[in-house]
Amino acid sequence: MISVWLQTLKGYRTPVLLVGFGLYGFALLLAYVFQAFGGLEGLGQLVDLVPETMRALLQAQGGLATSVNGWLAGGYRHPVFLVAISAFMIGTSSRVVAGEVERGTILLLLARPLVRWHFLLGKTGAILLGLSVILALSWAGTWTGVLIIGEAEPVDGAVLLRVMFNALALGLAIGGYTTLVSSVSSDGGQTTGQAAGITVGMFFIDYLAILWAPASFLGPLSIFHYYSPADIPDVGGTPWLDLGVLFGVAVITYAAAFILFQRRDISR
Amino acid sequence: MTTQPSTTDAPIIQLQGLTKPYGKLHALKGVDLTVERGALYGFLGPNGAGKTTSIRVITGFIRPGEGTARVFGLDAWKDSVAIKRRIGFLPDSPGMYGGLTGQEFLDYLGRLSGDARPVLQRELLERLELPGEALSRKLKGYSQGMKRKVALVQAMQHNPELLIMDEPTDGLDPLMQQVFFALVREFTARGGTVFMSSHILPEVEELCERVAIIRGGRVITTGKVADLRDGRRRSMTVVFRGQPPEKLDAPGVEVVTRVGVTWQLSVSDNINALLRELAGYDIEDMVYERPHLEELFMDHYRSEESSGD
Repeated sequence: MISVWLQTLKGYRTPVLLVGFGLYGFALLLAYVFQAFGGLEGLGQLVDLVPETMRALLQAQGGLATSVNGWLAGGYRHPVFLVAISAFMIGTSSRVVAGEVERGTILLLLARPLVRWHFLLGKTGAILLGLSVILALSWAGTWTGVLIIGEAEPVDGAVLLRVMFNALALGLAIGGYTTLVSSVSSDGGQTTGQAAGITVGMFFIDYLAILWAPASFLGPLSIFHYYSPADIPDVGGTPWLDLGVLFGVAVITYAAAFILFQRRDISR
Repeated sequence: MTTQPSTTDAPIIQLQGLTKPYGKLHALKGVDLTVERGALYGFLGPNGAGKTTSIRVITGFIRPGEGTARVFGLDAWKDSVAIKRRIGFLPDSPGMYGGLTGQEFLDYLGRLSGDARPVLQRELLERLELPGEALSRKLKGYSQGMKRKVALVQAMQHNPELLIMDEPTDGLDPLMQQVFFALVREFTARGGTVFMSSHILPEVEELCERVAIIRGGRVITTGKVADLRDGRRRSMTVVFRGQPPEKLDAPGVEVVTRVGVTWQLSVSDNINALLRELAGYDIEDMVYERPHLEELFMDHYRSEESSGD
């Protein structure tokens, strides 16, 4: 299992570093943009010029902030961040089983005395470490930005850590259902497409629920409903319910993936 | 080089009434097969006959339907990890990580088998002419033949008790095929057991002592190659010098083709009557061939077809 973990980690180091440093730069940019707009006052004036419907749209993207902490936290709901995290988790998790079956490598790997779920644990463990490294780099980008622009008002490190924890839970949920699809599939490309479809679909549902009141009942069906980093500084405390749902989705889908992979035929 | 001794007297592979349904279709319809220790066993059949499915069941990749599949006396599905400690497997279409070098890939698979530098790796690499320079290149730059060699090394490098191979010589040039044959013979001489599938009959004929022929998910015949040949008609080519006879009256002889002075005959087990008759003619050349596995194979397939299967 350790060998699989190390080998997977080695294979994913390039995407981890690319996505991680990309998000480091993005977080840095957000801090710079905050300063360039003239802080909260300048942003407030800018928002006042935006039509009502557009404001709701911005809210859904975590783009309206009432504090510097809120602004920085809102960056973790920005589409750039969501796309980067989703792409990493879907791109890597879809390959853990389906990609190996499609490539034919699984026939050589599982011809070794290796329990199947140990193999999957080694693979997913490496992906989870990669996700943690990406989030740590993103967090470091935010702090670098804060140091460069200077603090207009106190930045709460504990709040940003809770935001990171929320982002980790979201990443795990995406990784969980992608791994589940992968564990029963033999086609890496198809798995990527299906997982991306689920993610985009849930994002759309959440968006619709926010923008259109009659569809608000659909919101809880989406994992993005439970991911509101910008609210963490405003509401205060830890969003335990949201974290519980996201981690719950992750645990259930990963567990199902492990069970199904243990039982499936590898016949391709 | 010594092969690890088996700890049980059970047959190395035993399939009994093995089925494998895929929805309404059955890839295997009751396969019975026994491979004893030390055997060099060929598993013959055309594409789609059930060879690969049987091998995937034996190697624990596919869960069987009804019947039993046992390897070293252990259940092929439930005890697959214990079984895999003792086998080497060469699949029909092994994939490799293009971003790894050949050496890195072999070492990775070695570590998964519990040995970072497997005992036979160096010797196999030398025999199969895979030098260090080639192994230090990334696999994505390898030819099909080189990939096949790497796949062979990974199957044998940890000195398994049982070697299971699906179409092992695909992609190997004739010289490397001979090296492969020698490696396999040495492996069995050390006490190892080989179970290999192929649709290349001359290869199986050259290598294997026993064969099973599978068709439509059922084993239709098994036995020693020599026994299967017994009682079969043999082919004879006769080239007459001068005028050939009008006909041949020897019992058990059929004239298959007649092109000028060159006759192709099919002869049953008694050749003496034919030789006595031919002695009355001026013969320029004569070739008497033993029956090939290919003919036996085709005979079985024809007889199955004519019986309406």
